[in-house]
This record gives sequence, structure tokens and C-alpha cells, in this order.
Amino acid sequence: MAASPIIEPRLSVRGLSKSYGSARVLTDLNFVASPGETVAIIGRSGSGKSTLLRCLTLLDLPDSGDAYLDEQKYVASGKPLYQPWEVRRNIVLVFQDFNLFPNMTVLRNISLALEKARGLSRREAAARSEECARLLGIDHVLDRYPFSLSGGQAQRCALARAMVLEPKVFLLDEITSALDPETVVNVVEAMRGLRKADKSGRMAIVVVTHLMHFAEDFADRIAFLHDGSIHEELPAKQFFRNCEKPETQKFISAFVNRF
Amino acid sequence: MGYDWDFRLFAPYLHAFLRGLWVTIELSVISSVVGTVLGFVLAPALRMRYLGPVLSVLNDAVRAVPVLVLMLFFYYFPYVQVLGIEPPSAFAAAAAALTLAQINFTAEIVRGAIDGVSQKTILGARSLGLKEVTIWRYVMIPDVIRQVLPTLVAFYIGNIKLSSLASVIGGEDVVFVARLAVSQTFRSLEAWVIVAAIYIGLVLPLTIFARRLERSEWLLRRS
Repeated sequence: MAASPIIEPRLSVRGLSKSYGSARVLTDLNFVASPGETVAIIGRSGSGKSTLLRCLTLLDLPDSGDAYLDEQKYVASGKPLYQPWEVRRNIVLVFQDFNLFPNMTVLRNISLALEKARGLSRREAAARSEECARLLGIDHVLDRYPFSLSGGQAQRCALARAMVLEPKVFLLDEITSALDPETVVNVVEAMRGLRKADKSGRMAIVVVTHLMHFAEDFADRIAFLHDGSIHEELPAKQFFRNCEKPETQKFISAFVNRF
Repeated sequence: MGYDWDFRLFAPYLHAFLRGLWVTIELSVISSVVGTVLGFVLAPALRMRYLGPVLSVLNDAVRAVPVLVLMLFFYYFPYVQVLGIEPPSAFAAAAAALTLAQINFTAEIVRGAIDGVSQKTILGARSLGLKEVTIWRYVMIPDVIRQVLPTLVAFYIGNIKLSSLASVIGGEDVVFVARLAVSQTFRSLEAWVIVAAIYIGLVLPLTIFARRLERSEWLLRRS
């Protein structure tokens, strides 16, 4: 499902800047994701990938810039126009370290936000959660608590917890980085499951990753974040062959040469 | 040499010991329950930006004072002269001192536990669009309770034992009854054996509970 320029963007960011003290992390960043599109963001550690996702979900506030969800401005000149929780009900973020609720079963982890943020009945929330767990292959651990889960199960639980909310934008922040190689495969499979689980077909997925093969294969488009802004972006299948800028080529050279 | 044990002399005091036992239980339960509830209320205030440091210093100061001294203070405070009210009973003064101590400790450990809730867990909750009040109710408080409960149970055991100080100001707990019985029967060993047995009976179940709790899977469900 490639991006079409005619479709109005699901998520767009204009002129986003963010500094922590004197460290400038994001500089006049522009970014767009279309409905149904999957964008992979790659870049060096510390290049601002996580900061971008945190700003998009208002976990961090940008210093300046605008952000739009379905053409509706929700950040104007760095100031949020809505309550953070209103924004996060449409744009969810899944983290590297799962960040599950330790005091709740897997089922409750998945259903809590459906119930408390979406206002579903407990029964309805449980039914949808079970269905989502089945899609992600964790329906056999619904009664378990996070401390007893493997890394792969925990991350799939985190994915299910976000997916069940049927967000408009799904943000994934290096969710395979804390996992061993075998489990990575498992979670990558689950991420493919997200696409199947998106009944509307309009959910935008933005995935920050260090897995280049995965980015090439899973995403429609790859964006290289460098010096605080999107340095170069191309359709995923062409990215590694056709990227032109020297910084991009330098970054991917390790990957391209090896494979 | 040899000691002639005689517990029959204490048969007339059975009723008094039971009443004393009830006072001991009342003092322990009131101070533990009320102190825990108020301590939980005070804890978030200790974290407030401006009021917090002031309250923390006060809390630390009161915590430095022995419970016996608090009891003596509450009991011998010149209520009529200063406040124009009737002085409290020994029971009330003892309960107030024990409760205050429990508030101090609870607030302190709960404050630490609130800070100890994993930021990642909170971030995870926020990222799903949950409101702060929902996060407190379903994520923070359950985690805080898991963090503090083992310590609180240790304090509850302490309260049972500290309640014996009430006898110093005339609170009619088991120790008070034992002292009375000793003064009338002139047999002290039996009296204190009885008192010790009563405390063992009160404390031991809690100790067993505490040990089970420490090993329970329930405690692992925290951040």
C-alpha cells in the first residue's frame, strides 16, 4: 500500500524543533504519514528518533512546530491544543521495554485502556482483547502476569494493548531492541499481524528500528533521521539502492556491504 | 532451690486479663488502621513542591520522638489551661500517640514507594491515553501497596508491642492488668509468663502472615 500524494495525510508534522537544555535534538523537522502507510524511521542512536515519537504523543512537548492528525492541528507552535490523553487515544506508542502493568494479567493489560479510555463495558473489552491476543499469538498467556512472560510475549502483549485501541497512528519505538535474535523474529511476525488486525486499513504505522531488513520489507517508506530532521526518504524497496546523500550512504554502508 | 509455679492464684484475674487483651487489641488496631489511612493521605503532601519540604521536616521531627514520650505529652498536656477542654483518657492519649507514630512511618515509606513506581510503567499507561487519575487508581496505588505492605506489617507487629507503653500512663492493657495482679498476689513470674503468652498469641499469626507475604507471588506483580 504505497503512499499516494493525493490522499490527505493521517499524520503530519511541520517545522518541529526540540532541545534538551543546550542540546538541539530536532531541528525544523517535517514528516508525513498517509492513511494505511507504514513508515520506518532509521538513524543513529541519539539522532532524535525517540524524541520525535515522544513529541508526537505529547510525552515530551516540542519547542516549536505544528502537528496534525487527519488535518486537525493538535500542536500549534509547540503548544498542545488538546489534553495529552485525548491525543494518545488516537496516536499510541509502544516502547522498547514493554512498560506493561505489572499488577495486571495479560488480559487486563490489554483491556484496561479499552474500558477506562474508550468506555467499553468490561465484557466487551475482554472479548475484543481476547481476539486481539489471538491475532498476536498470546491467547495462551492471558491469565499470566508480566513478571512470568518471556520478552517476546511481553512485547506482543504491549503491541496487543495498543492495537486493541484501533489507533489512527501506531508508533513503535525500537520495540525489538531489548530482545534476543530469535524473539525478534517472533515480534516482527506480530508486527505483520498488526497490519492484518487493522480492519479500517487506514492506520498509519511509524516504526523506529535498527533492523534494516525488516524496514525494507515491512515498511512502505524509509526515512533517515539525521541532525534532527528527515535527511532523506524514499520508498522502502528503493531506499538502500537509490539513496543519494552522503550521510545516508555512510549510515547504511555497514548494512549494505555486509549483506 | 526451685520455683513453685502457681497459676491458680490468677484465676480471679481471668476477666481482667481478657479486658486488658481487648484494650491491647483496640490500641493496636486503631493505631494501625487509622495511622495507615492518614499516612497514605499525608504521603502525597510530602511530595508537594512547597509544602512538601516543610511537612517532611515536621514528619522527621515527630518521628524522632519515642512513642512513650508522645504518650506522656498527649496525656499530661495542660488541656484545660491551654485549650479549655477536658483532658483525654489514658486510652485516648495512648491511641493518639501510637496513631501519630504510625502516620509518620506510613507517610515516609509511601512517599518513597510513590517515587519508586517505575517511570516506564507510568509512561506505558500514559501512552495508551489513560488519564492521570486512572493511572493512580489502577497502576500507581496497587504498586505502592505491594511495595509498602511487608514493611507495614512489621509496623503493625510493632504497634502491638508498643501499645504496652499505655500502661505507663494508666491505660488498662494486659501489662497494666499484670502489674495490678502482681501487686496483689506478689507473684510476678506467672503474671509475666501470661502476658508473654498473650503477646505471642497476638504477634505470631502476623509474623507467619508476613513470612508468607514475603514469599508470595502476589508481591512479584510490581514494577
